[in-house]
Amino acid sequence: MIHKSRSTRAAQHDHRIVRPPVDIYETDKEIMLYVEMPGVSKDTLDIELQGTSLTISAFRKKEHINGKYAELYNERFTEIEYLREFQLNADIDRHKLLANYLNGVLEVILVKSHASTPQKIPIS
Amino acid sequence: MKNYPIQRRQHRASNQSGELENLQREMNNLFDISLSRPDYDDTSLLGGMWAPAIDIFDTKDSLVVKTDLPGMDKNDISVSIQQNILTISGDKKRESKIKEDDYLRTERFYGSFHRSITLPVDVDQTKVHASFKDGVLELTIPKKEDAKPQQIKIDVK
Repeated sequence: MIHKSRSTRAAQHDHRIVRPPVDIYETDKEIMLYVEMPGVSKDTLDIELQGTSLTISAFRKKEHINGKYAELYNERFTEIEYLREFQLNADIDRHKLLANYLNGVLEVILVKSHASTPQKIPIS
Repeated sequence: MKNYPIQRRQHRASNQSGELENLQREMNNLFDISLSRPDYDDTSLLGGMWAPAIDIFDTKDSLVVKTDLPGMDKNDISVSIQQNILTISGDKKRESKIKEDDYLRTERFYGSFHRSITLPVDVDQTKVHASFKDGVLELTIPKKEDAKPQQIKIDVK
């Protein structure tokens, strides 16, 4: 699979790229990400894990309004791509990747592979 | 929207260059904000104030209001219309299953917010349709009959 760079993706689709805000939590066993991407359709959500590099992206399409309309307030952006790249500090078990999109927030749960979890070394 | 008191910085002669650097940083932040909307960055100039971004579309029969409230539960959102003033408020809570010690990075906004907008036409507040899907609140507020655009026929003699 060929991965297009950020600039070529934007140029091709003529849309704006937005960096979504994220909360990240880490326990001994898991890394949990919560990415705010309201109004995207699930089929555009893309999560790519390559080694310790994680890329999350999604498209938000222009919304349809019935009939003719005038814009009284226009503060939101539609027709955007959410894109965020992360470098993880642990090796991830690819088979235990969990993702869930709820209320405009993508939850990604990454389970650290056994070698990355801190090992207790007994001191005699 | 709530008014927040403007905090004045203390100026000290010995710290003049530091102030200039701060100003420069804040200017840069402002440019970043305007180029990367919608943003949730907490810059010192805005003092942590947050209100959801809103779109309002004026169609023939109604006003369509859309606002982004990602990560909220629909039960924590409150919408009211009184004398053509639309108020959207709510309280956004953190994920309850997370322990505070496990935070690595928190960029999302939490807490209460409040936004009021005066609607430009008379609306029928008894027939508002509201939906909340994928973190986007959508309101369809019908106009009152006499507020709708009327077509007037003029006979040209």
